[in-house]
Amino acid sequence: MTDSSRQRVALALAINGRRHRVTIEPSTTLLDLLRDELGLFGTKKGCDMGACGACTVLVDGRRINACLALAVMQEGRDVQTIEGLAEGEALHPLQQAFVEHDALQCGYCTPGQIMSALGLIGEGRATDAAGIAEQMSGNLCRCGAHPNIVAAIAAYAGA
Amino acid sequence: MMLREDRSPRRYEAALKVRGAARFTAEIPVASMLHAALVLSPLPSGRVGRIDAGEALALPGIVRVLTHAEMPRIDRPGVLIPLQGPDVHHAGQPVALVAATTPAAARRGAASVEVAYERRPAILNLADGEPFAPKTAGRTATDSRRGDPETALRQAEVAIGRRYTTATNNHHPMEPQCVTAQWDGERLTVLTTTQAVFAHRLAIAECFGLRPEDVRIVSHYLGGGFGAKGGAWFPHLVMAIAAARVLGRPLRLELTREQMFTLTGRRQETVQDLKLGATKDGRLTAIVHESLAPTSMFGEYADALATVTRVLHACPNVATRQRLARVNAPQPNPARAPGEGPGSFALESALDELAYELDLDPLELRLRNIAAHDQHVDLPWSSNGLRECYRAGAASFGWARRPMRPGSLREGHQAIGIGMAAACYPAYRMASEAAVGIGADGRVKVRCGTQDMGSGTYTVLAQLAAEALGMSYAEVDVELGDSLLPEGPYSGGSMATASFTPAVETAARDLRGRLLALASADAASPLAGIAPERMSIADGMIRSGNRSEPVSELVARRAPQGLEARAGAAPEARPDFSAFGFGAVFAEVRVDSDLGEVRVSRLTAAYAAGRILNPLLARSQFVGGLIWGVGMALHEATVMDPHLGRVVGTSLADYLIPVHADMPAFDIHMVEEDEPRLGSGGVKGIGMLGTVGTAAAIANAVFHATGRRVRDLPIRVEHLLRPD
Amino acid sequence: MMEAQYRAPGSVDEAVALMAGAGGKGRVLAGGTDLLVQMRAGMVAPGLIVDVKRIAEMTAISQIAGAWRVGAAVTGAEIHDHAGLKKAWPGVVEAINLIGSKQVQGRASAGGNLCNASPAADSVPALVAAGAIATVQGPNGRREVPVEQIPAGPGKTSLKPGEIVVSFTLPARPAGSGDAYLRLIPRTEMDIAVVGCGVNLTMKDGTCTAARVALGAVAPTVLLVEGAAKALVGSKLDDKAIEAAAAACRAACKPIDDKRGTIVYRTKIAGVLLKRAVAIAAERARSN
Repeated sequence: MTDSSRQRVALALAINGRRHRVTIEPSTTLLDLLRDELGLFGTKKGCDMGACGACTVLVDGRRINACLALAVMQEGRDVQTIEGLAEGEALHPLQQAFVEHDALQCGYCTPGQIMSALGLIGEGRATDAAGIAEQMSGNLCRCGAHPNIVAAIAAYAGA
Repeated sequence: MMLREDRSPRRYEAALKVRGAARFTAEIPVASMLHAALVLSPLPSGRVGRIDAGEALALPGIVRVLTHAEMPRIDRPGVLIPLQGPDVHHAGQPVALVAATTPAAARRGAASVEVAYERRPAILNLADGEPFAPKTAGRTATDSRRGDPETALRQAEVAIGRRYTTATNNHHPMEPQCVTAQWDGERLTVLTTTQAVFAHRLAIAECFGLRPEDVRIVSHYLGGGFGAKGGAWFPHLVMAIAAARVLGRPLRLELTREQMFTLTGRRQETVQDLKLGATKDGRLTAIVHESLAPTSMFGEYADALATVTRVLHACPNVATRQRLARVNAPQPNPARAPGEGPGSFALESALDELAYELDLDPLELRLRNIAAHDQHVDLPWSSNGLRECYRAGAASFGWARRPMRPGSLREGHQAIGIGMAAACYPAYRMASEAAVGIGADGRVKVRCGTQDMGSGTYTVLAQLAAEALGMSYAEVDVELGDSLLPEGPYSGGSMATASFTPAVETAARDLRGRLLALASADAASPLAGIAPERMSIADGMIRSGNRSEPVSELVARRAPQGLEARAGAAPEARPDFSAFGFGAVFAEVRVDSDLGEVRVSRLTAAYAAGRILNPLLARSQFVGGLIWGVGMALHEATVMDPHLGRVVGTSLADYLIPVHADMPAFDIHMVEEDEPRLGSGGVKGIGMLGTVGTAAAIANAVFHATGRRVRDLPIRVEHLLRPD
Repeated sequence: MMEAQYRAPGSVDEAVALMAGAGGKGRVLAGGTDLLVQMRAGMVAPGLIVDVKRIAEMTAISQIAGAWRVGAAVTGAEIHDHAGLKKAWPGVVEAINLIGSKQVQGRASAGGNLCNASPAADSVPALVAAGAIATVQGPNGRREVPVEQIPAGPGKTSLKPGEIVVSFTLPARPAGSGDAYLRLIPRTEMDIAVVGCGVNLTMKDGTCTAARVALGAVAPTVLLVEGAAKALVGSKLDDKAIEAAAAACRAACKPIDDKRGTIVYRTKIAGVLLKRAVAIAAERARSN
């Protein structure tokens, strides 16, 4: 690191199990790192202000808004994005549940909804439909796919 | 109606979207592209003076700062294309564009541009504007009149007159608007978030003096639209294209969420006066619906607030009148159920008030006023399934158990209320072309230059071709969202599907005929010599009696380059019927008596909207429309500072849209109709219908719960506060 | 506009030294959920970002002689998962878990919520009702400050230049104690409080022996309503005492009209929430 006005920081982190080493400006958010530096466009930019959840990713298993996290804070962490779910042609069962329940329309909020749902299942909070709806409320949807999203999550989680 | 699974293949592009692999506009790279950021006026009215870009230009990565002085002139009346002159007409209007090598550099540059303004007087509130009559109200006439409503009101056995207001709303699709403009001499390629690749191609060609065929517009996946990616986006699209031309390099402009409050249109606020006259036994004798809404200083747009009033209920004497007033605010434009949403709030709330004046069940009042024909244009209905919607919805909801008296139902500190409203939306159509082809690999390809905003266009295009050809859905590929394709309809007014359906079906039937003729004439085919009318195609096989051949083998042998049929369809010039979709919405709300909090607990809706192509996706569309009604009723308001003329709170944390926890239990019924007279193949639009009437059903339920009649949307806790 | 520098020190001493060196241009980054929004909106342009998430003392939860010490950078999600803290201070834990969405809770901390100094911050009324003490360290060493003294107005704190909130201490209290936090928002989830109310009670043989009541979003800073506490202490939490406490809450309100709520509404609701929060806290006190 230097003290010039344009500091760049070296960063090592794992994304979907793959190690990445990058050099970035300190103010780069995790979202901009994923999209602009690494070309991982599955994580969406809906507001860039932490208010819509479209950029939800899991960091060490916990869901966060990638737009509200600096990339440099992820040193040594394990980041999971939507691109890491399917195994080749085979969709992850939660992705398949979204397809079956028509839990998407325009599809822009969808990766964030799916990552958030995996987070909440991991938190052990997917107990019933009302609980899922409450815990998913940080993921906005404008098309109105909400009931189908909750149905897909409940079906996958066995709630 | 049962949801027949075989009729509901899953969403065509769903697997791509759940993988995060569908590439939206901002995710398509273009070589040597620059990034734009905008400098916005903080003043609602004024004139730009000196613009000091010195500090910005000294920052790393900044290529150029463009102002109105450097931009080419574009002549487009009635539209405010930014950076065309020094005048500022609304807060948030772009006054400079910073082009840089990265988005972050452009943002930093925009924050460093210093702009001096001469402040001018502004009109910031609707009440301060001068009312005038717009040329049209949406796609309808501004004013209407039948019979003698004034006399009928005076003579009515029962009459009411009430004022209703609705708030400014923003569309806020989840994907922000984006454009990447790339010039190649006099040819132009535009990747953008558009609901209308062809309409935008023509308008852009006109702006820049190009031939339409030299302009290509691409929009493969749209992260929602709801009206915000049509005409509302156009001025900023043109600004970015012009800037790219000046810069001599491809340019991308991606709006921020904050900019989506001011640069992508809005649903205009309304003040609506409704007067109803009726007989004691509940027959409507007069309706007068007068409204006022704002438009911008430079454009003229009026939602069709009275469409529903003119046709939904039988009434011999009806007058409707719309006025606009200019304010220094962004240009309003259509938003999901553009007039019909706010207009039906006023009408259907007034019907409920009339029902209580008459002491008549609100559903019974509506049943007594079903319109036997369209009295506004004096034509028969193509079909009108409203009575069946009332019946199916009421039965499923349990309306018959509703006590008439408000405040009758309680659970703990919750007051429970039940309300209903009716809905209708015109079945619009426009001209469309489509092509259906088949390759030597046996795969079918549908090509149509329309868009999919999330409404299911990919899916129904594939379904229509598969069904008409006798191939399976999984064998169909769809290409849309590109102006190089056959000209398709825009995605708006709930008319895309009704417009392309006959074109796709005709093209597919034509292709089918050619395949059968080919088989008949081909000595190498097992079907040689059999008359085409004695053959059928199913599951990719041509069959006649016990003879058959796979379509793919025939094509590989006789047309190795593939076959394609193209067809067009246009709406009837002067139809001898009137076509609308109809619906009935039933709402249950729970109101916390001490806090005034309203939650919608149940929404049952029944719709009669022609032929339903895919019940699964249609249900998703109706639910989406209903949720917009919930937002309009309880949450959504773009608040303008009355002194500064700026939006108060420009994030999705400030502009409240319904979230998962706000969702009621949905119960959707589709009353299927046979519509042989509709040239759309029986299809009526469904995207808007769910948003019509819903806010009124909720407000009527709030009245039933609390005895409080709220006539101003959104309903706020303050409206329901009990005096101590 | 300069690109910010970034440092992630390993100790509070080091963090304080970095802040002192930044000469007023330094900003502490705990979760980043407020700081990044402010940077994006152009409200702040820090020259130095000091990431405190690698400082053990600021990211730990510990119990000392019945008191709980919570690092100021512990996230809402970590607090939610801490069974011991949840049992002792359910109201505080619930309040911290109302900060933003579940995604925001994956990063946001009570320390950040306090230092952001929003009058509507959800965690603050619960911490004030709890009698929480903040440990603050700056160039002149450490000091202990009652939480209610930290916010000085919307967006302003009483922290001196270079000071960092290191942790909160929730005091030990007798058996028969319970706390609760309730708020009202216009949407079911994901919104900013129109009114928030924290209550912390100790009951002995059916009589209230100690009480603290705090209100959020009804004044420029979170209010400790001593009049409400006085009305409750010594009572059996009968209707008359609770009504007197509600009246004290209403009298203490100095709210504003804004798009989320009017003065009349906020004032009325403060009393309603007080009654409901007292009922929950009393129920918890009985079973503790």
